[in-house]
Amino acid sequence: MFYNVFLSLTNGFIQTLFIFTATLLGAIPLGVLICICSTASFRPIRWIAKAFIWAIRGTPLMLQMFVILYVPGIIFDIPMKSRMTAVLVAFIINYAAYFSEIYRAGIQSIPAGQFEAAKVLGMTGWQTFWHVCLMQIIKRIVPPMSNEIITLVKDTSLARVIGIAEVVMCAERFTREGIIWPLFFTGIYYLIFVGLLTLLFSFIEKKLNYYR
Amino acid sequence: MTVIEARNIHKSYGKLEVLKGIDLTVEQGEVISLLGPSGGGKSTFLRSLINLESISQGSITICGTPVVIDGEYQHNTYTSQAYRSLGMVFQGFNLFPHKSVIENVTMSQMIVNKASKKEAQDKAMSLLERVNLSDKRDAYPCQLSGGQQQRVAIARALAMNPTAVLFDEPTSALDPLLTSDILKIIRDLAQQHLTMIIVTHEIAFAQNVSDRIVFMSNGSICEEGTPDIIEHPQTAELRSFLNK
Ligand SMILES: Nc1ncnc2c1ncn2[C@@H]1O[C@H](COP(=O)(O)OP(=O)(O)O)[C@@H](O)[C@H]1O
Ligand SMILES: [Mg+2]
Repeated sequence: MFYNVFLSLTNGFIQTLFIFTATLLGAIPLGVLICICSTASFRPIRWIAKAFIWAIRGTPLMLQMFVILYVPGIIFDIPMKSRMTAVLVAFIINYAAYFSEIYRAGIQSIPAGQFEAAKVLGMTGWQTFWHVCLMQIIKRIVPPMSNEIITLVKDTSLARVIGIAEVVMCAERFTREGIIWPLFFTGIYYLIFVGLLTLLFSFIEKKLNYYR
Repeated sequence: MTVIEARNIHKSYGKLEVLKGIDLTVEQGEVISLLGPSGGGKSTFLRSLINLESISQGSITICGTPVVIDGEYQHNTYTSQAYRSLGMVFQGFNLFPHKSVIENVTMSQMIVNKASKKEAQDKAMSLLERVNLSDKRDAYPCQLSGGQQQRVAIARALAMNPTAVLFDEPTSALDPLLTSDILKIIRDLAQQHLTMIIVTHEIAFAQNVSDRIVFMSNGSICEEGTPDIIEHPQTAELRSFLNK
C-alpha cells in the first residue's frame, strides 16, 4: 500500500518538478524582456508593459490558466493543444511579470554614482551594464528571487484545477478510496524540495558576500 | 595649451538658475581651486565640464575640441575622446564595490583603452604605490576606510592618463585625520604639474597648492586671482565667506 502511494506521489511530483523547471527556464528570460519594456524610454511601450504587469499581478494565476486554456479556442478557434501547454504558458507569463519587477527594483537600486563613475572613465552604456551593474543587480535580486521561486514550488499545485496530475492531484485520487493520509504526505515532498532550494540560495548568497 | 575653456555657461534646474554665465579657462599644468558657499553651483559647474550635467547655454572646449558650441552639444563621435582626457574624483568615492582594489584601477584601462591585463596591472600597481595602497591590492572597497577608498578612486582616475582631473570636495566625506592623506596626494600631483580643478573647503590647502583661486557664489564667479586673494579679498562676498 505505502509503496503504491509512494510510486503515485513520486510520479506526480515529477510533473510538479517539470512545471517548476519549465516555468523558471521561460520566466527568467521573459522577465528580462518585460523589464526592458517597462523601463523603456519610448512611452507607449512602457505603458503597455506596465498595463500588462498590472493585469498579471492583479488577477489570480488560476484565472489566468483558465483564460489561456479556453480563450484561444473561443476567439481564434485554435484550442489549446494540451492542458500542460496552457499551464506552462500561464505560469511563465505570470512569473515573468513578477520577476521583471524584481529586476527593475534591482536596477534602480544601483546608486547614480556608479553610472557617473563609469561614464567619466569612458565606459559605454553597454560596458557599464555588463561590467559595473550586472553583478550588483544579481546580488540584490537573489533574496527576492529566492522568495518568488519558493512560492512557485507551491503554486504548481494549482495546475490540478485544469487536470494536470501533479503531486496533490495524485494524492487526492486516494481520498476517493477513503485513504486520506497521502494528501498530507505530499507536504513532505514540498518541504524537502523547498529545503534543498533554501540551502542552494543561502549558498549563492554566501558566495556573493565578498562585497557589499 | 588650453585644457578647458568654458564660456558663458548657464544652467537651470526648472526655474532655478544655478549657473549664471561662468567663464573659466584652464591652461595645461594649472591648479585651480574652486571655493564658495555650498549651493553656489560649484559641483554643477564641475559636472557640466565633464558631461555629467547638461548646460542650457554657453560653449565648452576641451583640449581643443569644441564639445558644446552655444548650447549645442556636438556629436559624441567627436567629443568622447575629448571627454576621456578629463578624469573626476567624487566626494563619495564611487568605487565599484564588487571589484577588488586592483580591479577598480585596471578595469577601465582594459575596457576603454584596450590595455592588456599585464599592462593594466603594472600601471595599477605603480599608481597604488603612489597612493600608498599596494598592500591592499586584493581588498574590496567595503574593507577600506574612507581615506583609503578615496586614494583608490584617485588611482583609478589617474590610470586613464587624464590631461586634467576634476576633484569635487574629495575630502568632505572624510574625518579630519584622513583628510591630510588625500591632501598630501593632491599636493604631490600639483608638484608634478597635473592640471586640476579642485572644489574644496580647505582654504589653507587651496591657498598653498593652487596657481589660481576662483571664488563662486550664487551661480557666478565673484572673484578670482592668485592665492593672494585669500589674504586680500576684494569683494564683500569673499570677505564674508572667509570670515565665517
Ligand atoms: N539635480 C538637481 N535638481 C535640482 N536642483 C539641484 C540639483 N542639483 C543641484 N541643485 C541645486 O543647484 C544649486 C547648486 O548646487 P551645487 O552645484 O551642488 O552647489 P555646490 O556644489 O556649490 O554646493 C543648489 O541650489 C542646489 O539645490
Ligand atoms: Mg558640491
